[in-house]
Amino acid sequence: MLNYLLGRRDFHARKKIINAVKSFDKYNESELLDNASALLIFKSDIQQCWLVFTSQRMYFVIDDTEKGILKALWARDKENIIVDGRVALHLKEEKYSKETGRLLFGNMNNSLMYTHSLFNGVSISGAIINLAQKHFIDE
Amino acid sequence: MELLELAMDLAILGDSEHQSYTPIVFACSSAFYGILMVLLDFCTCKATQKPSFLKLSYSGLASISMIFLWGVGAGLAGLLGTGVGIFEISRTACIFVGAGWPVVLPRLIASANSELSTEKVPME
Repeated sequence: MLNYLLGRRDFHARKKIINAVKSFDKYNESELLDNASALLIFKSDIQQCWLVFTSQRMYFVIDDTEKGILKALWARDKENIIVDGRVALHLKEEKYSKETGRLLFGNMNNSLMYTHSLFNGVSISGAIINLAQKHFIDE
Repeated sequence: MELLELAMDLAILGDSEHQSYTPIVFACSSAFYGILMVLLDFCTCKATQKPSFLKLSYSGLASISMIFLWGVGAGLAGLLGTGVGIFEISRTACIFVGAGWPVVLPRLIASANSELSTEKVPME
């Protein structure tokens, strides 16, 4: 109701976030969406950003309630993340503002913002590496 | 119709204070200013393509009902305020309620969770 009064819709549920990767051009049917994981990394009044891990890729999905957009903005193939059987992401966290941090990918040309309060007492790098290991190595 | 005429008198046209003005008239005038305030924000937001000053989001037809609802909210606040004796029935008070309601409340709602990020992720 509060969101309605502010002119915004509610954020999409986790399952819909995972299904959003189907519209990404690199997506193929062999990716096992039933076993996919979604990690909420950024949350503001109007946006939520997720990292979705399938058996083949890590997707960055944005859910924007103001513009009514839910889509995967970019994806990183498993082959670019796993080197010699190990996760090679080289993540580096840095402070961006009081509420927000920036996560730099050492061997990629991109970075992403994350919300500190979503990772109270937990490292975002650790959470990403754990999920990458689970989906790209253990499975 | 008489109610609306009295409301318009209180809001703009007539005396700023009069014994014929009732709390219901005050509520209607407050609602008028509430709608006017949100409408002004809507026009500014669309014309300048900048975020809303009132921290509201205007998308599609839902904006119309939202603007109307903020007016109704200001009206209810005015009715309640005069009912419990917080506001005297005057034009100044109804402008205060009508303009203040949509300015203060969305900010309070939006700031309910101060731990959220305030940045915007680019969509490219």
